[in-house]
Amino acid sequence: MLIALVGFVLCAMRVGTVTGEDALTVARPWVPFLGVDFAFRLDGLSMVFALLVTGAGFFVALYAQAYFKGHPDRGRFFLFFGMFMVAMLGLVLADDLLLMFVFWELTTASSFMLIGFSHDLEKARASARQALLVTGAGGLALLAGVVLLGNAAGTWRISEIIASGDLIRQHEHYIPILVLVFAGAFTKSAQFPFHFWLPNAMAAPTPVSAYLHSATMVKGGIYLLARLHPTLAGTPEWAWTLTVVGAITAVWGAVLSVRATDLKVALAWTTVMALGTLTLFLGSEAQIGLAAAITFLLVHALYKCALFLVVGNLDHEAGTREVGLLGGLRRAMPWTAASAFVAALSMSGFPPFLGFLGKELKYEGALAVASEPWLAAGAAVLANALMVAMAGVLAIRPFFGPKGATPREAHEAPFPMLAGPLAMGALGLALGLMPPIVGAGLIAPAVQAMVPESVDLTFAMFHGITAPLLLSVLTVTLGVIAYRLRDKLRRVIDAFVGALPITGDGSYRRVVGWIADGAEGLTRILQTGRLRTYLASSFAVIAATLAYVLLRNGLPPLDLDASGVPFHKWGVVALIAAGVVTVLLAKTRLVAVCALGLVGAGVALIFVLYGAPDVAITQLMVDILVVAILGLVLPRLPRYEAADGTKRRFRLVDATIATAFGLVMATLLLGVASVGVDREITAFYEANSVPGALGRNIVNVILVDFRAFDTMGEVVVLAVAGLAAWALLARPKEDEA
Amino acid sequence: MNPAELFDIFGTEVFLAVLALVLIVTDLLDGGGKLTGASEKTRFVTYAGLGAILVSTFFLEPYGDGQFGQLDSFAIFFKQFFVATALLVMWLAAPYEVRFPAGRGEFSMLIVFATLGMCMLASCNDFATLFVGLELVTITLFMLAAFRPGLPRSIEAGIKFVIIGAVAAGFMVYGIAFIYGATGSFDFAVVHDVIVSSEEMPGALQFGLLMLLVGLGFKLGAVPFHVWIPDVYQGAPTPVTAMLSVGSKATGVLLMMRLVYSILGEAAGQWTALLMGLAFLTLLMGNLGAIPQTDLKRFLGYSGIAHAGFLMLALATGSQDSANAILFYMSTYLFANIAAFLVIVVVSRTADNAHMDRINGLANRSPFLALVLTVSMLSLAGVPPFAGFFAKFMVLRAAVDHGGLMPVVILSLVMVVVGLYYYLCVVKRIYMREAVDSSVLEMSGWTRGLLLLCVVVMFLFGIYQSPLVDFARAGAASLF
Repeated sequence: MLIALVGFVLCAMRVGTVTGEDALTVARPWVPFLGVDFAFRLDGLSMVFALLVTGAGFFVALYAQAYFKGHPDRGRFFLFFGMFMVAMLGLVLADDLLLMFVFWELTTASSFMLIGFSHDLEKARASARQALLVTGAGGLALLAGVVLLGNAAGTWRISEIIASGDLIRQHEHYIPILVLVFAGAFTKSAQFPFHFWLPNAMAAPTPVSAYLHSATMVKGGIYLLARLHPTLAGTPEWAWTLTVVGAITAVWGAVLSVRATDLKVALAWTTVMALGTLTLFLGSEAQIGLAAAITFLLVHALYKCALFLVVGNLDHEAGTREVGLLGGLRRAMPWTAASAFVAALSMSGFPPFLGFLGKELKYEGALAVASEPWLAAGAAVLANALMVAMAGVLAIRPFFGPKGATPREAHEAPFPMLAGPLAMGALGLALGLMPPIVGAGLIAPAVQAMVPESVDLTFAMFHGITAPLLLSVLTVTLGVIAYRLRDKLRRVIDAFVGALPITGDGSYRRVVGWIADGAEGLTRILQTGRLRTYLASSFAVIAATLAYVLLRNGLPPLDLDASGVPFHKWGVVALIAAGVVTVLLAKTRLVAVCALGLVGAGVALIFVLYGAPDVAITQLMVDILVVAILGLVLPRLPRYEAADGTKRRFRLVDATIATAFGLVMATLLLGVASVGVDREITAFYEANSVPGALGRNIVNVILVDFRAFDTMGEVVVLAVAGLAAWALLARPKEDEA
Repeated sequence: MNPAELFDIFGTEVFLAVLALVLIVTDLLDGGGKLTGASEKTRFVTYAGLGAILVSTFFLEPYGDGQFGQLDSFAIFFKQFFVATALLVMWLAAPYEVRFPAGRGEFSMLIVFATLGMCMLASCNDFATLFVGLELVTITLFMLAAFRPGLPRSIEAGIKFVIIGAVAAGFMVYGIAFIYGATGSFDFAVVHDVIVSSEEMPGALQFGLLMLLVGLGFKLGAVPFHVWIPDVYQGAPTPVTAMLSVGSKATGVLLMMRLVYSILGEAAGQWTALLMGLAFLTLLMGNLGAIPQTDLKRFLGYSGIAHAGFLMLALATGSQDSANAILFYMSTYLFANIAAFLVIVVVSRTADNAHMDRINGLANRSPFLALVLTVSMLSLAGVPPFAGFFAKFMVLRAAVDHGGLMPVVILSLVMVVVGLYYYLCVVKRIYMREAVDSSVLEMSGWTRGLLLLCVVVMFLFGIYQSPLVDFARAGAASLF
């Protein structure tokens, strides 16, 4: 909390001094080999966000002190909360793309812990996971975008990238960069079609919702878009995407907010609407549009944070957030009611609140949107009208009318829980009363950070009878009508939403379900724990790969003419074949092993026939040993389960794999054999074994002389294996623990 | 080859062999020939010996090619890596060793021998030495995996490991034979010359290299030769699992790097598609496989497969940047894994399994262990500001720079999200579940020290990477 206050004061002291040129910069080299610096920069844009982060952080922290009074995990909450605040501050101050990304991810990770804070609730855990996955996925898209952007610009420094906008816009990777950056920003800021995670994240405790989901974290994406505005904006792709996505998000968020009966969820949807509006305006290039975005950002943070805290008070003191159960609480909770009322007035944009200024600028900006002014203005009016209705629901329903059947007898919240909403509501009013100061001190520098030319904006409450003012009147009228008809409206929207075939939430569930099922299915099939499957899959893959290479290279010329093969060689082949067939048909293991010995003997005979009696002897020795050892071991094992009907399928698969593998290897060998033997090495050893090593048996000389080191290694291997086997076998058996 | 040359190249190996022999003797003297296992003295000799050898590796001077081996900066990097791994594993094993009914002396000895084999591989410059070294590593690890003969799971792990390992080794020998047939030499440099000088690689050579890849894929844990990993990781004693997951995997990485950067060299481009495909599948299998796991060691097995996928992705690019990235990656991976396995050793002390329930509510039982495991998971997941993030970042950057790997880069990004999900599920258990067993977790000062070291390293190299990056660069320099 102290951090927040100190930070806020420090930032506030700098207000007015930071304009484009003399931005405050601190930089230390961080990862020199990548050219990444530990660089921070405070300019007009960062200033607005930094003030939000620290200011709202202070009040929310104050609030949370009382909200979590007596909670066993209070310490942990403040740990994560502080971590999040630092990360968020780092995000808006970083002047290095990579550094910014690092903080971006940190906000994701710490928000995961905060959303899932009430971990007793399965819902809290699920929504924490959802928020994490959606924003995490976006974050990685952003990482890819950041890397591409950094590569394209040749630097990681944001202030330098901003200056090289033309270079980036003409770069061949412009579109991928744009898509990836959008993916990051849209997921973080809950833009359509990723909007669904935000209302679900309302399972978080109120301070978290107020802070993360209205004032700060969701604004991260907005910040990113605003930050990169000078670099990426100015193309039809940018303008159209942001205008359309923003408009859809704004209208859809507003519509769904009317439908919600849980006040907190309703607030979440209005936040989605606000974020959509911000995105919409960032699509514009006109100064007035950007000014509208920044002003509305401030307005929204002030009233939304206040309203969240108000709802938190209601929840905390009256025990419910259901709009149907609340009513007539103005006597029991006068201060809460007052702050709700002030915030709601700002929300619906009545003069002289800051909200009015924001709304006027919005209409002015909407009309200045280059791509499609009426789309923007229409969306803004519709969304704002519904906002007016929602403001009514939030500020009038719980506090006026007959007393509702609340689960708990309501009484006023303690002071720390009132300070935030009251102060923020008052700030909305105070700032609204002095538009020139706000404009010159905060908004103009922020806009300056986004546009190259000098900013020329005037801020005033009343401009005379203009199109925006008329739109405002229209908005309020529509809003009041919507408020009166809200129940009917809700039914209509309910029916409409119920009829939608695809929803964001539903798709998310489906995708996650697929992944989980897929993962389980995959491991069930591939990780059976059975050696048989493992070996079969390994052999199958090897056979397939080799066959592929074989076919790609073209089959080697195979010499399949067997007419010249003498009779005794056929005999050897028959011996081996008989061995193989016996192995396959064997009913007991012992017979199978003996038959394998037959195969070994056949191979040894082949060595003899081709003039390598020493190799043949080795082969025979090894074979006899193996058969003998297996013969000693096998009788001690449990009886071999003969293959029954259910295993026929396995056998078929195995047979196929084995045959394929054998065929591939045979082709390979025949191919190699037909190429011809390189006699060079043999000649070398023939010439050198007597003079070099005084030995006549080439194989022996190679083993003990030319490759003595390897032989020694082999001996060591065997010795170690023997030692260890002895150690294990000679010890007393350990009891099953 | 004269003895001096042998010593210049294989000095570390000679020291390790001497240490192993000293250990056998110490163990014998100490236990008086009784079969009840070793004691403090053996342990002291192990630590002191490995520590001294680790120090000695920093005085190694690159020697160049010898008849049986080579000593370049790359080899030196890996020797340091392997000896450090052995030291950390032995350190980690200290609280576990009481569970060996007997044979602690042999345990130390086997670890030292495995390290000897690994160091030999770091210096090998021909296929014969490669195979022998690999056998030394694999066979000692077979024995180690089955080092709890009383536990059927441990025996099962050993047997599975032996059989799949034997198949892989069989392919490898076959492949080496093909390579020898095609080039007439075991020597890496000669094979490299043949590959580079011929317009199209001879068929036999291609097959030989492919089969070699099978053997290395087995070590590395790349699809489709990853199947043994979950079972063996779960069944083997935890310190051995740690050795498998770091040391054994690193041998695969080391040899793959030699294969791609030195042997294929300029021709590495021909393998990009193949390696990319394998990386793709490995990433997919490892990450998806990790999701439903409920055993920590098995889980780390899958996570290791996923990491192998990342390393393969870097290998596929064949660039110098990627080589730096791999060495950096391995170094961060070493500490994250050692930390995770040490936590497992501590929390599963009362029962011989590492079910995930055992870390539920760890935050309340031991905030320190909770912090260590969280940092380790976050580093493995690649969350900034921990070292693992920069490792992943370097790999991805190398891959993006390569340009031709975009599909795998995108998939790997998706897989990082999936990874984030399951690593955070572990973190969630630590902080957000009720403990199943609330007994006090005892740790010695040494164990605490090692955990602290790992956390500091993961954090320090996350925010100040330059020294480690320079170290990795120096190591990779001799490959190019």
